[in-house]
Amino acid sequence: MTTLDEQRISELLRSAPVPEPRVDVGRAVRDGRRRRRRRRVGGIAAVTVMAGLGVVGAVQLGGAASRPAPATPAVAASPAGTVSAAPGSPVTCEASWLPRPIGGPVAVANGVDPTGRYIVGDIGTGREDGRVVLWTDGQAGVLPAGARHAAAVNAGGVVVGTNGDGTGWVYRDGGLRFLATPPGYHAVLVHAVNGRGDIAGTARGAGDSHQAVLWSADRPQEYRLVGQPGSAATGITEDGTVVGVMGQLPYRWTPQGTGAALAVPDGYPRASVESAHGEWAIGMVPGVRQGGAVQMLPVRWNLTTGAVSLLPFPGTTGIAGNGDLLVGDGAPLVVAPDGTSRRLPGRPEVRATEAGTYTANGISDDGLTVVGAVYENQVHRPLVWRCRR
Amino acid sequence: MADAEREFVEYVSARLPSLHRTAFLMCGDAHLADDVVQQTITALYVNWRRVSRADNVDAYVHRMLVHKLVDEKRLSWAKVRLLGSMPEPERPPVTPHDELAERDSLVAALAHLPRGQRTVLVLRFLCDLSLADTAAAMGCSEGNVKSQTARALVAVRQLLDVTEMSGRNPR
Repeated sequence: MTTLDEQRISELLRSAPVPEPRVDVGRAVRDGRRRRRRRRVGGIAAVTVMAGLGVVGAVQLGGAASRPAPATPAVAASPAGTVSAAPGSPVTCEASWLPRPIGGPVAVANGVDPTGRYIVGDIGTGREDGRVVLWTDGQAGVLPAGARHAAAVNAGGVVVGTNGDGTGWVYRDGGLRFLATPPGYHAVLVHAVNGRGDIAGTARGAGDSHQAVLWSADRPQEYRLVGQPGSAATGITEDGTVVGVMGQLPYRWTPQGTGAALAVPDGYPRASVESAHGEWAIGMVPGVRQGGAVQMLPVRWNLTTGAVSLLPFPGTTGIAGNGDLLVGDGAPLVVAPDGTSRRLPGRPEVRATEAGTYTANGISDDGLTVVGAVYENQVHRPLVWRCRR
Repeated sequence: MADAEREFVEYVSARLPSLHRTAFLMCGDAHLADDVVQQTITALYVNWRRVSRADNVDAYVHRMLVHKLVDEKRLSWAKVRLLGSMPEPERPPVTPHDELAERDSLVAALAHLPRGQRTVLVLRFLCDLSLADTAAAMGCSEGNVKSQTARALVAVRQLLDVTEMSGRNPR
């Protein structure tokens, strides 16, 4: 962040050349008048436009009343397409709603533990009032208000996250504790927790100083700095391998703290790592130049062999311990290491068909549980896909 | 009613350039930006009497704009890589070459960011929305906004560094 601070971004955005707007205020008034008349005659079609101005409650109630029970349905006829799988290993998936223990138009499942038993998410208005929800075997519980923005959950139901003020936290067995912020830094960003309770994240200080940090769920007030200043940790595997970046290089650290750069694909200057599960990690490289800009491309590392490969997708949102990739190309797609893929089905009562209606955010280690949300009528609802081989 | 209408026209006229800049930088498509802004101000007119009483009208309008963009089916944002349609400024501002190049490359760089990342950059650093208002506009958590912002800054930095370096090579 030495070459481009936030203020510089702001200046660039303000001064970037944009075309002349071709917008007609008079037409907006004319169309708007027509629509108002229609609304007076035709009912409440325009109500959803008002989400965010206090009508949300009404929309919510309507949605809740017509919401089906969270029981699993028959395999859904889906706007997102039906299940396809490799010959010989048929996989069937079903989408189910996750129960919402509290109200709020923004209810999203963000992560799932490696076993698929625990799911974490946020429910709120999208303002600073969101609460963290932990679903255990489908039963919802709400974490204390001091915990905001869950990042991950492990196979023991331990949840970690970072509050809006840059304080890290760990929730275990019903208790919430805060993580130490290392001296010299003013904030942390917590990314991952493994089954041993090792928590990985990055501490940040003045002048964009930062360094990777490990905590333990047992002793949250202790910490261990990883690597050198300039490092950042974004993931940790079950065996304690930490992944992240050191300067501009993708990096890994052994559980003992020995660091080594990960391979950068031939012909690319640098790469960043986003997360790791099992022997896999995913990240991005700056790809081909086009017209003076660079396209970021997703990459995958095999941490055992060290091999890195470019992925033929616009972007990836997660990787399972078995190597299954979660791809968001407008609708959730799971791609196995052998290249076979399956499109996750939708819910029959969801009418929206636009790209982005369904988002998938997390995947279990066997690739069979995927969590995410549906966005329809300006309301997000949490969803889980459960698959069987 | 006539007063409310005049208020509406005044507000929209004053905010139009900034709304359009916001929409264009978020989607990278001049025509789509026009459509979305038109739809947004039409919806705004329909609801103007209620909206104009809101505490923060700008934040509300930004939220409408983001939702219209999300709703716009054509906008498969992840795939918007319309560099060919990147518009030329009609009257290039008089600035040193390097700065001009950086501005152009920022617009091009935005086209390569994932939807969420480019949205947070525009909302936070162009529209000056707070963390809370950005999260509300995008319908996600503040933690999500923070992590997207961090990633976007890293990505833009990489993109601009790369273009700067390659721009300097010939000299």
